Amino acid sequence: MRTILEAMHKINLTTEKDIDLVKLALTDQENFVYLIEKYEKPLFRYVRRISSFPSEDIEDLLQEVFIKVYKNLNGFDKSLKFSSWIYRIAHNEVISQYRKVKVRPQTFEGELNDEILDNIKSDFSLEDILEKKLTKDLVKELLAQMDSKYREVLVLRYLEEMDYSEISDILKKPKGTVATLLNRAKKQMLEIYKKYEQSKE
Amino acid sequence: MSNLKNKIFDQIKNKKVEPTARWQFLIKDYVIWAFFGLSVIVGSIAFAVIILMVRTNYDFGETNLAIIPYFWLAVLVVFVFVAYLNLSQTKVGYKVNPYLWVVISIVASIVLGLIVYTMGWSSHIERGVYRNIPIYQKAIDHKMKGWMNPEAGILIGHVEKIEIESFQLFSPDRHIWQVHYNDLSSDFEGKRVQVIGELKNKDEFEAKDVFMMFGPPKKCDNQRCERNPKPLRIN
Repeated sequence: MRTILEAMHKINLTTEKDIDLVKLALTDQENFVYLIEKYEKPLFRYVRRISSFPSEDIEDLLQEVFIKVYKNLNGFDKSLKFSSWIYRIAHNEVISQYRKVKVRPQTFEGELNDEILDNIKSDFSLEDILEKKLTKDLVKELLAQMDSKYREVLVLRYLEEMDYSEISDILKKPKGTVATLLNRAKKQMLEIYKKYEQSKE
Repeated sequence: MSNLKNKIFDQIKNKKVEPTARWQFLIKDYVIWAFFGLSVIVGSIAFAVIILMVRTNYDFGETNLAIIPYFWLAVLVVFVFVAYLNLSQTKVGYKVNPYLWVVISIVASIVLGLIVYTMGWSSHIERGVYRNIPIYQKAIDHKMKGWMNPEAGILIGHVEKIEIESFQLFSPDRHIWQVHYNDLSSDFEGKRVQVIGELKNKDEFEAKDVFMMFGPPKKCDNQRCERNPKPLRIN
């Protein structure tokens, strides 16, 4: 581990390109630490947002994800962004975990900041009610009640701030299907919101 | 989280995890594309034989469902589906609408099938399948038996032995006929034919015309192209 720490001082993770980090990891196993270092937090946050698994389970799941990433480094398709590829592996691992436990999340875990809230509001601008009344707690409540396939696409678009092409690569669906999923997700969110408002009256 | 790196490295070391070699990923890709190619080839052969059977068979106007080449239709459908499955498993598979992959698989089979038919290979392939696949042979013989009607002047079977003024015909009901016909070309030997003519007795038939069934399209001669004649139906 000493070599890892030494090497970490030499590499600046924010400026180094992912493809170079992949090459480094392939030359020496210890260099794989850069990729772990760069992606452990984003992946933890992403998995938490889409799955609501407890932290310990997410750590176990991420271990599996990184082991798979390491094993498949030579199969990384360079026409993709590395982030899309690693998110895809995490997404697949979450899906297989759902299958194992046979339970889908009923809550939404994860922080929402003002910027994310503004993004959602601006994209839902046609719906006046949402624009005015949308709060962080309400968004969490709405996300928790959504179908997981719709929740995931909203998480990728608004919380992870991915574009259509990246979402298409992560979910392995055509861009057109991603657009359709997003539209349906928005509709479902509005429907849940309307029911929520009615229940309050 | 701080432990995650250590846990991952412990697992990598304990389980001796190594990156899978690049050639293994390349082989997987090539195998998928090869299976796609193979599926299109089989689909195109099926399409070529369908054209052959429809063109050299009775008219569809007769609304006889028995003339539809179900076996080859089934082969075409199955292999178009297999081709689609292979395409969708490629690295770019998910980027295109699945319906478009189905259309691409169908178009590829049709285009290649037309080439196979035009080159005249479909009759050889059909004959090869007939000789080597007993179930197919049985189905075709059964179909041919249904088309045979010696009393009405239609005889169907294999040309066994060609002589100067006659030839031997082995019909699907396992009967050997002596068919009178002058100078039948040696091209017909071993081929399935339909004979139009007149029944003489239980073993003999006087032929007016002999048509090769499921034969290749006729070649062009002096810029005129003739279609392989369709056998007539005599009721």
